[in-house]
Amino acid sequence: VTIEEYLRELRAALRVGPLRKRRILQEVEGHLREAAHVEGSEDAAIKRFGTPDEVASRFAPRRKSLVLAALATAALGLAGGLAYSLTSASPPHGVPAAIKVIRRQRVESDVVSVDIGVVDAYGKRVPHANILPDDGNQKPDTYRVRLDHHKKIYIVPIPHPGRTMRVLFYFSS
Amino acid sequence: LPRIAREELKGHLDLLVLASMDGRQLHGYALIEELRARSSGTFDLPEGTVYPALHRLERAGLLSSRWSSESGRRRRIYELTRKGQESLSERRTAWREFAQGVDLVVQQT
Repeated sequence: VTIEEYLRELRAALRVGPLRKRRILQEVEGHLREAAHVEGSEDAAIKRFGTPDEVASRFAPRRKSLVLAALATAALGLAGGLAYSLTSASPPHGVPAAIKVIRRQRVESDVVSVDIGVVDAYGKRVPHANILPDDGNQKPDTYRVRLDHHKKIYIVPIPHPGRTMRVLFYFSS
Repeated sequence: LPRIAREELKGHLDLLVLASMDGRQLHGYALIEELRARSSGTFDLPEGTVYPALHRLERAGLLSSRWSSESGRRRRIYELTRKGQESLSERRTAWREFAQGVDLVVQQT
């Protein structure tokens, strides 16, 4: 894999706005070229950097996910015919008592799959919660989200279009 | 030196980045080299993990950055902000207490 090919893959995998994407790609390119120069091999530099998917998932934004989720939800409402489910849910296994899942809504569209959990946190105020997407393979990616002062709505970007995943909410203090 | 598990290291990455930036202006590649050198190779991170950390710390107001061109290479240079200095100082104290506690326990076993 050449640096150009790597950057093409990273560009496709990044789920960020155009300005931020440009900056990330410029920084990564600078890094890879410097590393390749020092190590004498583009391939070695790329291997040390990590796969495009790994790197992109660490840049996954929250604000963007809100926009995508809003779009997905709007499309869902307009189409009216798309499948969706809204179910009451008891707290998933492993969720401490401090957090309670009120309801869970799954939305699917061609462009993005999101799992919207509406949760109510009480008793303990922490600066963030971790979210563990569970795609049946216990994918270990963890996303940080902010808590607001009232009821919380977390919308989690799922970096695999066309594939829905259950999301477990839990606290990390 | 023992290899530090990636997951274990992730939890300390912000502190390591802030500490490495203390009193310096570094671009990402230089920061990784700094981390590797100061840890005698123990912290041999997947290099792509450092940039998201830099961006996150910048968004939190702990780092600032600017583009720089040197010998034809364009690089993003990072440095600690005042808030970053304060955060580093707090994190250092917390880390020392934590490490001391762990050490006390481990030494007795």
